[in-house]
Amino acid sequence: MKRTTLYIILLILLLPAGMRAQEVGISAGFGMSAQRLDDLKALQRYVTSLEVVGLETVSSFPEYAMTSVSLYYQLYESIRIGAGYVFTSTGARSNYTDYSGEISWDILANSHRLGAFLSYAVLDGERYDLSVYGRVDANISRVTLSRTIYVMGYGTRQNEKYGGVKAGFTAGTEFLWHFRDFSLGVDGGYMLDLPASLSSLDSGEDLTIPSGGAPGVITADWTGWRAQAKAIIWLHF
Amino acid sequence: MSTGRYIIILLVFTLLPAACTYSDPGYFMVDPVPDDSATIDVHTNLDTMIDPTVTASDTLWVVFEAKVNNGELYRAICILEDSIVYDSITASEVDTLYESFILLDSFGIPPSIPLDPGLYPLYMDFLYSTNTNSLGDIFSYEWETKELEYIILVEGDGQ
Repeated sequence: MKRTTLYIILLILLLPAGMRAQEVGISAGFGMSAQRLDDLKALQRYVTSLEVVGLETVSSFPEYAMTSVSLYYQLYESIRIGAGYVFTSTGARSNYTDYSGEISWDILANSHRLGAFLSYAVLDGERYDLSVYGRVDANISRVTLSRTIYVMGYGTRQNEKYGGVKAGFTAGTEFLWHFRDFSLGVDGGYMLDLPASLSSLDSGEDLTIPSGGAPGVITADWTGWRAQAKAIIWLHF
Repeated sequence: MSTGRYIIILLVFTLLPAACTYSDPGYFMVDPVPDDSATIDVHTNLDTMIDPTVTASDTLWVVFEAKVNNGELYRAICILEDSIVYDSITASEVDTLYESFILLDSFGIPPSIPLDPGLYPLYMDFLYSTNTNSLGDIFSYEWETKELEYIILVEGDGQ
């Protein structure tokens, strides 16, 4: 609780002088996101091709849930600024199962985005507003590769973890419906991600697969659509 | 702001990321198509021996050859009463001609075997591939077993 209060105070202190001290809000959102992740899809095809039996693709980085928490500051009547965290998760699974056992490849891809945003209200009513926004993030990718073999009562599971950091830029629109001291809303946008090369969290080596006779470095490219519903609690100072 | 509201915010902060982590328990069930079954031929000197006997002074030598057609031989194990008297996995390589499909070897049952005089069954089990093309077959965790049984007379003093 003290940390939350500290963040709010820091945000206010960092604002340029002369701003109107109006409202600070804390929001939480929940939604869906789609992402490109073409290299990870190629990685899934490659690792499964190495198996002694033909694995079937059960899933391959589908649209999946995202969640966010943000701090808002009403800078001017039509302009809000803020900072926040967005968590996005997706993954892939390939599997072969018969009566004697199974082989699975699972790839879990998580994106942790820390960034700042600015929104401008193009429609500003008493009870609602419609805004456009831009956002800049540091996008921290974490990818876990898991291979599971379970045969006739004997099993093994191997995990490898990889990570990378790059910037991401999002543009979108936001609709908020205001109540006495909270707002409900939806926002949607498109994120353009600079693909981050993935390297092992243990050894630091790049994650590669053979590509045209040379190792091709695997990147995490989270470019894609996102949409969420959210609630904002306004703190009056 | 009320304490309850802070609690709600904290719960949102902590629970939503965990709830959003991707997982997929799906599987792709396959009914493997088996190849032609493997067959095994086993010959031992016990086949022609009349009343194989462990005497008080002589070891009974068992010589055998197992050959698998269209498959692999994984293991041969011979049990007299409750004792393992031969196991191809632990057998000396010097005495063993062991390829993936054929095993020619021998072992002795010495007079010192701790059994009272009498008749005992000697079980010779040969484990070989099933050719079912299942994961158990591919990783050699699944096998067919051919078991031979011979009656052995032990005349030793059992010491």
